[in-house]
Amino acid sequence: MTRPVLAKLAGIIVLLGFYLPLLAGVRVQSTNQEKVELKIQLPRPMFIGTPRNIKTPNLEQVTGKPRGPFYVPKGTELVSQKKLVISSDLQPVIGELSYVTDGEKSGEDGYFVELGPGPQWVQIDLKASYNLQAIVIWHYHSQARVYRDVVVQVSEDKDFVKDVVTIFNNDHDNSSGLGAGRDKEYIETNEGKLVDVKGVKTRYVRLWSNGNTANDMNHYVEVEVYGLPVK
Amino acid sequence: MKKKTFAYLFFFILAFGLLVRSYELDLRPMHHDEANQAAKFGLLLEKGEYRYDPADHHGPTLYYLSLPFAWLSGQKTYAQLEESTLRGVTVFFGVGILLLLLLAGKYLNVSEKVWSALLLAISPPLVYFSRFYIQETLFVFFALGFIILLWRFYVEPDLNQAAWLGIFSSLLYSTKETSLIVFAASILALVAVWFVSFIKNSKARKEVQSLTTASRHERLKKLILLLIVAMLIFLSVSFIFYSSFFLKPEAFLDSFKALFRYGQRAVEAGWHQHGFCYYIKLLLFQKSGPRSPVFSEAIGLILAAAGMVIAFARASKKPSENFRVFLAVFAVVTALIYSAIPYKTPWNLLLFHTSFLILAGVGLAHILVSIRWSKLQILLVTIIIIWTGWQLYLVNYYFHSHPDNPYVYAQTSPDFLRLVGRIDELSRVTDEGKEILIQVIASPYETWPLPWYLRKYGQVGYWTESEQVGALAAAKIVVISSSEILKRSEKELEPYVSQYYSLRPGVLMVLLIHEELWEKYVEKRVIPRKSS
Repeated sequence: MTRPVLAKLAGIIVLLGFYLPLLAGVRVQSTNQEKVELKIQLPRPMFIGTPRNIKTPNLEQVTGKPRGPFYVPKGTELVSQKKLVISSDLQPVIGELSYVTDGEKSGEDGYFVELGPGPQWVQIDLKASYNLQAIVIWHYHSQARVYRDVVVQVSEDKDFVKDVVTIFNNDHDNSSGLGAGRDKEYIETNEGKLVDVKGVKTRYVRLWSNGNTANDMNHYVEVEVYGLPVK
Repeated sequence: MKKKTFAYLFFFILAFGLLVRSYELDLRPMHHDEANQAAKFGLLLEKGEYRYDPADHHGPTLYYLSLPFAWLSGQKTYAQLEESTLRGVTVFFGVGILLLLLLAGKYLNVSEKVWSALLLAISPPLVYFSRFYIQETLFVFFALGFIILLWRFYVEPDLNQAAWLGIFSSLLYSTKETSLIVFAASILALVAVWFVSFIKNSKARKEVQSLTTASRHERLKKLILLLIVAMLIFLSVSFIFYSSFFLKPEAFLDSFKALFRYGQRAVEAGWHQHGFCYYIKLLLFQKSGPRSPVFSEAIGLILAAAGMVIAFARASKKPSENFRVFLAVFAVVTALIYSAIPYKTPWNLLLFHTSFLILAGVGLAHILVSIRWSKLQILLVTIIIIWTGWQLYLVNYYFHSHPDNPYVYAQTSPDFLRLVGRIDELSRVTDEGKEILIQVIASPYETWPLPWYLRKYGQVGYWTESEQVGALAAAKIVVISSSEILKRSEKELEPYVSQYYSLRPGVLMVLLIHEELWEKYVEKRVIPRKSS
């Protein structure tokens, strides 16, 4: 073996001798060292003075986007106007049940009916069966608020015992006892909430709610049901 | 009235005042301002940190004086604090206001003290703000103590009175920098009393004229010395508080500089700007709608007016007997000053209304003496107690958070507690428990009092704008304001169940719960999956 080769070998041995224990040490260290959770400091809340006291109705558009067009079959008409309304609350706290279908959609006082606290419903008798296309609901729109557990059901049975179809349900935790729904909650606006009924044939419409973000009461300014007469 | 009868009556009123103030202290959700104060106190309690902020939150006494209450309750951290502990501080000073009447000594007679104490004990706004963890009740306590001590010093200036005057004035200043209003109004009231007495009493005028230059000099020298003592105590104690016990000496000077800022804010009041008659309207008559009850402190105000008339009509030649005149001038001047300032919040009426109620006690005591027929006396007192008691119930226990209540101002909705409750329920079904990551995305005005309610959670981040947050995916629970949620894409929100809650009237917050977590929650709560 020549001298330079020997020198190279000796160099490799020395280097290995130097690095191997280090590598081993690293491995030993990484297996022996206890892992701890990396604590990340999250941003703290900012201090600030007294916020605005909003007492008057807030008519600001909170959704940000207007509802786009909704298409229905030709011949679809408003079939709920002036139709009979009954309710789980026999004596509304404010207003009358007829307000629900009287065609008045103003957000001011005197245009809404107030039902008692807890789960309550109103029911509209369309007097005949229709292929329903859309239901538009105005609960109360002079303030940014959200009604809880909004459930819309339709049926040919006036007692809603059989053939009940639920077309909208945002009672996520089944607090109203009608089953949990997956529809989204929404902020009340003057546009009303449009529910797509997809042509279900029915005569009776029942709308549930369970208080709102401002108080425990239930309100209706107007409900409009659009449908096609059954041929 | 016998001393013993007075003692029993006063004790009974005190106990009743304590009862109505401390009943269900957590009934009303924490207000934005209360939660801010609680967080600041939490820092002091936990880390011993307090830094005076000349931009907001006033002086430090509220925080330092809350310490014994937390220690006595065995609460050592912010997370351990309870609403009742914090509000217990203001309840203590609220009851203390009644006790201060005893400090008035001979300057109010026993029946005046009893009726004043009763009206203060059951006053709806006084009780309301005694259950409110902000500086105001402490401010009124120290202000009332200060004006009584100033009067005592005025009548009998000595070292003892000077020392107490120095202590109370410093505690008053260390509570709110704006106490300058109290100092100015009380000096004006003293000048008015001196003027009234001086005009009425020709003998006194002669006495003053007959004093030799030497004795005048002697009196003046003594007075100046005593005032220097009071001033030194004022400066020392205020310095100790504002400098966080010598840790930040420059903060004491900052407190004076802050006066300019508060002066500016008083004029440029923004959304807290209200008209001159705002306070008097709040107190006199409020009825928000056909179903809303009447809220009125008119009885107290009428009696206060009677007390003022009596104070001036019976003004004595002796200055020492004109405490009522002093109080009347002080009440009117402070009411006028506060009404003239465009920046108004309901709790600012507390200072002058307290003085009005003491005058109402004076008025009632004299009216009752003038009524000879005992049945009519009983009837009058019964009407006052029943009406005020009814108002006390409405303001403090029934309409405690309702916007129709005249003292409710930017109050957190009770609905907000449902959001807090839902987060608690969700945390219980996760493995992380209270260490679950929660993202809060809302402007500071829409954030509070959430930090108070989430104080027991270890991983809560607060962002003021949606742009500061990358993906929502990291958090299973997101609390976002209804305006900030509009900045997120529908696709991003798709895996979340969204629920709305009211923070305050007209301010909605959205709770986003990740589907995965919601499924787990639904499973554990055994919620039927399909709609009927």
